[in-house]
Amino acid sequence: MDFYISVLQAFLFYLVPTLIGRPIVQRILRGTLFYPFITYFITGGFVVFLTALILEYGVRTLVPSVSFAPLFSGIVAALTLVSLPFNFIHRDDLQLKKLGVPVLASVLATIPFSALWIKNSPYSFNWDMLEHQTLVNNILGGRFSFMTSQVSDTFGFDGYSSFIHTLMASSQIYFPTDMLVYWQTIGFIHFALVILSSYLITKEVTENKALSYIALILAAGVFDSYISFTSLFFIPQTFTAVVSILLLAQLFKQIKNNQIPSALFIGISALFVLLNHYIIGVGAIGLYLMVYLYSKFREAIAQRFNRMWLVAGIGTMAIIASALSGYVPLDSLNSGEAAAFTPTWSEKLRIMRQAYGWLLALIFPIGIATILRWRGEVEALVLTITFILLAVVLMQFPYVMKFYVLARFFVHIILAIGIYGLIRSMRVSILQNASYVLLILTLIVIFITNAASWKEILRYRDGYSNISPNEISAAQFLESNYKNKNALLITDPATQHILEPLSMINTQGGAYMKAPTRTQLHELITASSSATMANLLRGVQDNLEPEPDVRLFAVSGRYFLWQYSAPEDKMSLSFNIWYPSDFTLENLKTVHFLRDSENFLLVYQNPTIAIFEVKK
Amino acid sequence: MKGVIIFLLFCAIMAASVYGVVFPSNTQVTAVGAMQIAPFSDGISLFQDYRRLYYRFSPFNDYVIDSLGNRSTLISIQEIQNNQFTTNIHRSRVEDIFFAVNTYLTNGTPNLRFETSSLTANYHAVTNGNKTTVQHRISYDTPQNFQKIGTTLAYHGDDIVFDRMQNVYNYWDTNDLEIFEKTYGLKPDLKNERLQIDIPNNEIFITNPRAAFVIVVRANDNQTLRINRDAKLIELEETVQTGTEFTGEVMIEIVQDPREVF
Repeated sequence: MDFYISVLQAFLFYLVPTLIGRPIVQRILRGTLFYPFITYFITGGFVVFLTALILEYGVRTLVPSVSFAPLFSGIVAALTLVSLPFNFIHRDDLQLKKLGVPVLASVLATIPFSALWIKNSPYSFNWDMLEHQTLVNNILGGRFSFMTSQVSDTFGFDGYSSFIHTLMASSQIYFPTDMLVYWQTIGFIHFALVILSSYLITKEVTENKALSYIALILAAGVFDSYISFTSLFFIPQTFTAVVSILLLAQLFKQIKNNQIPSALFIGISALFVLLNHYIIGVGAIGLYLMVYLYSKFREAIAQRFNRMWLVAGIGTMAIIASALSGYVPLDSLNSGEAAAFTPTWSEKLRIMRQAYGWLLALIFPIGIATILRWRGEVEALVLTITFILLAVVLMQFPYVMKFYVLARFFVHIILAIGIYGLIRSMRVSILQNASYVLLILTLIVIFITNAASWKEILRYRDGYSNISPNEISAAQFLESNYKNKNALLITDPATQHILEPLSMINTQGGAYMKAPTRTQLHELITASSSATMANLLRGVQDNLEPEPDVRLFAVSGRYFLWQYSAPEDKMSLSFNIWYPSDFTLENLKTVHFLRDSENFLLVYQNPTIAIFEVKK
Repeated sequence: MKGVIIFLLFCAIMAASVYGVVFPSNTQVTAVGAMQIAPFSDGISLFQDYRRLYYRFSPFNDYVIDSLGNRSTLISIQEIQNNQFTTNIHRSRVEDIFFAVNTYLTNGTPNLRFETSSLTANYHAVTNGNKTTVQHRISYDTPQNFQKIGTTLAYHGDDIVFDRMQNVYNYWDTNDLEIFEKTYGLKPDLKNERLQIDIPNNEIFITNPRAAFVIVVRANDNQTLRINRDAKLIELEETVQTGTEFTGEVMIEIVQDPREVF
């Protein structure tokens, strides 16, 4: 039963804001909404987030004794219930039939590729889900803030507000959630939405269904498996990208129908994407404004410039800017963790080959040539956008590859145009049909090799995983026995990252443990006695919970592998033991030593992990 | 005609696209319980990658005994040093891509072939859950008058090698034996007085202080199971007849605790 409830809760992430937002949008916004769901979702999302903000910064400021969680849960539940009659009465206005076939096609495309991705992999590979669920747990436990770093010290950098986490909390308030089922399910839904949004934006740009279905297939078969993770990881940047692309698709359609989106709508939408990821949000707002302003000044531009020369000029400048970025002295920016996320151009080429093989390199020029031959206005605009986004992605600055979450949708439009141009030229339907089949088979092979090489380091027993069943069992033990105690769990960063959301026991920083804690953990391996070890563990300071009643120390196969690593790796935020590991005989020496000491009390043990209370 | 040419161009583009993919460094890795098994350039190995522990089945160690009682490995040291052998590993990118896809979808059957001027040795591992059978077939151009063939598994100097009677045939450190005793509740009886020892009960266990697995090696009724402490080999030796083809096999089970099979 828990399984089905958690599946339902994943759907509620999208349903609750949509249900709440629809009556408001219908009353306030006039005019035809071509993709109304996105507007309903954004509006309802704001209602939920504003509820949390008002409760925390308004009500609780005036009456601090008020408890956040029950009020938030009650208000969201009430809003959802109140919206139901309206949504039921006006269900015929939902215009479901218009999107029925693309939605069905997206779901059908999601299924086989999802099945391939999760083969021999019982749990989601979305490593970030653990930190996001930690934040959601905190919100559900009554600790809310606009800034993520104020809610959990797992977030050292505020790259986004707690908007998405508040929406997730609103979907998890009704029943206890099986976190792993929830995140696996929301990952599937997100995958289907990535595929659908790729279809929709291609359709609005090209007005060609066959071409749009090619983009749909590409969206399903391509997984950008480094930094961006667009299709298979539900994280703030990919969520923001999907919302942004749907907004852009709607904008293209509005422009074609000589409609101008209202300032209120633009403002709310811009704020939504910004709050959900500041960097991707800025990029998305920039794209939106580019398309919007082009639509307003297109005639003036057409009078002054030759469209294709303009595209070529912008493309050339973009390439030059990208090439010159490698000479900008940014050593201070590119050091430490950032250096790990600044791939060289040869590394970027390998990243491209992992996701596409040579497909992108071979078809992209054909797509460009086709666009130049067609001389389509909107296609030319999309090509310009693609050049700019790719130039950003290729720059030698840290983290710029995150922008591929946006770029990939436009790249796929260009690829779809190239593929469509080739297939259409064949003219013989049997050859064309064979080509579609060949395209799908090619994408399947590329996807499988991509998945196989990505998962290679995550082998555990007969499958692939970041998490082991024994670690989940340990988390369940911790939740049952320590959830209501003021406990602090201390272990290696990756194990903290896993156990904290699953057990709801606090850790110092999760995977983003601070340097002093890392130093103290490192010193454990040279500690001469259990008393010294206990003192080191008592010295671990958590800023959000500085005085825990119970300190728990967990050792596992993963913990020992981390301890055996080089000191500089242990101090790095980008280094983790990503895979589970069971105890060795050598590890068990330490376990027995701690068990037999007077400073530690063994409270739990299985073949993978042992948990001790640090005695006072 | 133009349509056909474009179709062929399209096919070439799709083929080239696939040719450019990135695949795992070893494309025939199969899970065997807590370990993996895969072909490498020197044999088929059981391993746990991040533990850097590899247990190898190899023609560099497998041997034959001729009618005069002389023992020789399938591929000699001289042939190894002079690169006088070839393998079928990483022969072509297309083959690697095929293996990568096949292994991902079906778990695969790791296989490896060695060729010298005089013989061909084929190794493959058939796996089911936590059990695998590593088979080798050695083919010669001319009939060979061998008396015995030996299939071997190389182990490490710091491995703890023992049998179900708790006889310990190899260990490195007495501290390791202490934790072994404490963890498994066993009372090891040291049997390391000779370099070559025949193992009773046709079954032997291998673990390592740095390992999260126990390898169970089982011989069939036709084989003599022996530990060769000098060469650090587990040997399964059987009598053969004169001929051009000889086969051998080793049955392996991977467990976490030897008491699972005691």
